[in-house]
Amino acid sequence: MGSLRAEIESDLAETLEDDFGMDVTLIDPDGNTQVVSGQVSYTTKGVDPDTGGIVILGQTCVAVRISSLTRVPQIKERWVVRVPSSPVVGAALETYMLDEPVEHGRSIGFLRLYLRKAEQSA
Amino acid sequence: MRFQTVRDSLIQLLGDLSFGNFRVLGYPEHRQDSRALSGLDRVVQVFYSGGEFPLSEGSSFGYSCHHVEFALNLMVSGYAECDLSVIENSNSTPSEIRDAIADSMITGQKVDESLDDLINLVYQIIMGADHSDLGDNDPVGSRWVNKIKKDPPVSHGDMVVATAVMTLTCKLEESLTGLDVTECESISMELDTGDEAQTGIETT
Repeated sequence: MGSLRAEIESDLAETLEDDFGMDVTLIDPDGNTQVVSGQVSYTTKGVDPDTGGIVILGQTCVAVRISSLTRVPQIKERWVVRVPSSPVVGAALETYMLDEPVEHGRSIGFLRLYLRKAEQSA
Repeated sequence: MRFQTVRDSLIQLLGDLSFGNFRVLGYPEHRQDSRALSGLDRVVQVFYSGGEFPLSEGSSFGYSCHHVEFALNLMVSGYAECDLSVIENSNSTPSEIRDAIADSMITGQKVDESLDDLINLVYQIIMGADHSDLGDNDPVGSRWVNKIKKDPPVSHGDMVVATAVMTLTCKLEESLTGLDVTECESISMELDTGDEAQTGIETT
């Protein structure tokens, strides 16, 4: 049996990249593209400020394994991320921007990227 | 009361002059079906938020001066903005993509600028010289936008929402009209009981 960190890496490879993985295109601020496998979720829970009730929001979020990245997004960097519009195989890609801080997961080897949908500029 | 007609006139005025730049909730020509809501990125909503009746400016038997306060809730939502024709083109070079990313506008910045633009549009309509009556046909006194308060942009999933409240004050003449109740007419019915007709049930 390997070290705990090796076990975690192995688990991440399975949970984020194997059968659960979807192709995610990451474009760094220099325009370089890398395609990695990551876990994509499309909704999240939020609080409606008007009512205080829990609502389901459209929020595309990508979890990727750090060791699979050739360059890791840093705070205040502006990245473009393209993900399938749905989990269906062959779904069209949608373009998002990364303008929120990346959720900390570095100590355990993954990053969670909260994305903003991008529209065509005028 | 008069504040209700002025509130409705204000909604009508803003809706008439929005020219597609924003939507006014309650404006009759905008149906709020799902297709309309999907493009609902700038919204104005008008509330009567309160009023005062100074004792020195009124009478319990006649007209009173109503110091009215309307709250105009302005809301803007939006996504990030970049040149997708470059980003999504497989033939684009890294340097072209780099320039497109550098020129992109992050969501908070875009929404904040859009909210400032909306504040300007609404202010120009309300305080325009032609609209001193706020769209009503009767005079409105001391029309004045005395406060605008912006809240910081808030994340709502993969979009950002920014809101502001514009406070509009004015003076209106209110009169006591009594309750506007219409009495039903009485209808007499004659029941034919056979030998002779009798006046029977009276319904209202």
